[in-house]
Amino acid sequence: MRTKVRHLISCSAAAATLLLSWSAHAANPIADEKIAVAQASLQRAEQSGAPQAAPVELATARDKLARAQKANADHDIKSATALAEQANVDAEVAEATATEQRSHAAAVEFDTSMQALRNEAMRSTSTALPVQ
Amino acid sequence: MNVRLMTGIGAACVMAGCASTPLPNPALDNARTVVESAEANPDVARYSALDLEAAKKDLAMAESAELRRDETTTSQAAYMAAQTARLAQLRAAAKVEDAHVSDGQAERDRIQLAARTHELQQAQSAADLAAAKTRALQSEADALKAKQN
Repeated sequence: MRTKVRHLISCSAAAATLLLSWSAHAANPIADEKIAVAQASLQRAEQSGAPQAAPVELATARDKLARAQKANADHDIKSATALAEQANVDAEVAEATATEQRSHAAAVEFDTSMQALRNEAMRSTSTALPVQ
Repeated sequence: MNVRLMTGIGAACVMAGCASTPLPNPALDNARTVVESAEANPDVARYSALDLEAAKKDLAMAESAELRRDETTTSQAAYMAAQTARLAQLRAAAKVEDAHVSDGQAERDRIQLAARTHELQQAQSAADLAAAKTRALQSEADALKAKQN
């Protein structure tokens, strides 16, 4: 009888330790993964000119990521997942804004150089006419 | 007659009231508008169809969550739908501009080639002219030399 009780105590102690260590470590694999994805998107956005092109969107993404991490630490899985998803899409929008601005600037520059080239071509053919 | 009409109007009002009982969700309304305008953009269909598909899926999720009166899911899915639709618009716009530049590069090459060809022709005719002049001067000199002798 006594050994049985002792066994029960040690078993429940082990279970409690396991539960504690589990809750202290990986809060939730899905939330963890969403947070990691959002972190990667945020990093990409930060390196792609988003701090200049879309500072507000980027700040929102950073704020949501921090809140997602906090919710994850507090074991509020639903909030953590939702916030991480939003942080991810906000970071992607910030990056896409920067990319679009770069592409737009490149297109404008290209058009300007094309116009200059056309003007030059027209001038050279018109000055050539009297010679021939 | 008048009374019946009034009753009819009253009943219609009540029914309309019933039909719109789910409170309007501003995030969902916004998502509908943004997804609609992305759908209406042919560049999005051409260059970022996958983003648009994702946005439409999120919007459908938001709509069905609203029918279940699940406000948290409605707002979350609506936000994702609107942002993903914006993403589709931005990515399509960037691709359109990139395509504009790469298409124009062929025209730039054509203009540059035409200009070089033209320059070459000009140089050639100038050289021909100079050669003719040299020949003329040479024969003039030869004639003067012959006179002297």
